[in-house]
Amino acid sequence: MNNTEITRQKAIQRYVRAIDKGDLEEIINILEQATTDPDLDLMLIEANQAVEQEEGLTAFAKDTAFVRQLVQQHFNSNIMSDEPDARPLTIGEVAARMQADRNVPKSDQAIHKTLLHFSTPLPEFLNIQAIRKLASELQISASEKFWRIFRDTAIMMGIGRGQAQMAAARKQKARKSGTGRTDSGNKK
Amino acid sequence: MTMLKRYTSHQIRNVANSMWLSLDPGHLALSISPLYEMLSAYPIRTAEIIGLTFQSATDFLTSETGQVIPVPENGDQPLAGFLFIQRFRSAFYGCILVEQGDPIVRRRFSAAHELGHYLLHFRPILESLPGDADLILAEGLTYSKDSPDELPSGKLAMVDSPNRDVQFNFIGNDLVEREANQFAAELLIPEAACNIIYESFSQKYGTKRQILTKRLATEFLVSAEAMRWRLATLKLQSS
Repeated sequence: MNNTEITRQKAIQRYVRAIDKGDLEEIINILEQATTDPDLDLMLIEANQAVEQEEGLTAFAKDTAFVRQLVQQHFNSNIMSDEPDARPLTIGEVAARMQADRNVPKSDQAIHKTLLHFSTPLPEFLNIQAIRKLASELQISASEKFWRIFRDTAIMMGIGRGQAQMAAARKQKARKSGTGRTDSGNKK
Repeated sequence: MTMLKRYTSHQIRNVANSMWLSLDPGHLALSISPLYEMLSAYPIRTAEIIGLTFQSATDFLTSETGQVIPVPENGDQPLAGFLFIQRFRSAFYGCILVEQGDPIVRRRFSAAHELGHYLLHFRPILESLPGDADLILAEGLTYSKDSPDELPSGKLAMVDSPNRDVQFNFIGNDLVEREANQFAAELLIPEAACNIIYESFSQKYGTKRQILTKRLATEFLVSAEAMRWRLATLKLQSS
């Protein structure tokens, strides 16, 4: 196990402890860490599921999903906007988001689990034909409904990632010009 | 100042026809156009939401993307459709929202209208700019309260350097809206199919114009008003 993996393991242990204690501040810290580490993000999702299944803490798991969304919304666009994720979206990231959103059709859950580990980048022009071609090339058989949700999720993530980068560029520009204005993107 | 490309009726028809030609041949026999299939040919998500306004549209996008999404206007004015398209570093994504409470014929027309803006107005701008130029285009679509049977209209707005500023500039006008409406009508009521079905039904319904129009509207899953407008533009009936 290398240093990065050890750090992730420790983060997961801290995360589970924080869930036990209801320590929202620590949960936010770790979720923040996960916004730049997709592997940690996946591990957190799995940890959430495990906690939920073993202890029936559905309501709390929903809370963490909500916190995750808040962290993404606020940290990506403001606090962490200097280093937004500029990599192309991957199949695994979209699958992880579907899981976090609890948006995986029951009949496709097995195939979805395998997709979580795919680091294949998505096609740049994300139409349904490109998704079908990708599925055929990777020999993945899932329902039409699954691929529709997958594509919708990927499009929303793509918009979000672009917006995060644009917000970061605006913030950097404001800093350079010395105005200190941090436009989050909302026109008043 | 961004200049929008202008179109003749013939050019708009060609763009709409190209959508039909890109479909699997099995779809060509249908009179109800497979709109979802057509929209899916682009990286554009379509969704229906209840109580569509600029505010609910931005709430939806913010919730789905995890980012605060800029929109051209604020407020709770009811919308029939909403378009948001962005290109950032060559990655292009979009979202079309329609009001879930509207009748299906209106929802389809609203979505087709917004697709028209993408194909007729957004794509040419993208093609005219360098590959790394960033852009956001948005529109809220409404129907007139006073004349709800008229075709819809919106105000197209654009941010041409969203990595510098998110100030929207309104670039559309009535002509641009008419082009999007014509595109929607061409897409949902293709001329060739309309001529054939009109011929067949007019033998049955004769001079009963209103009944004929409603019957044709059902056949194409469009509103009676859109059908009337289409028949007039095809000179099959006077407006």
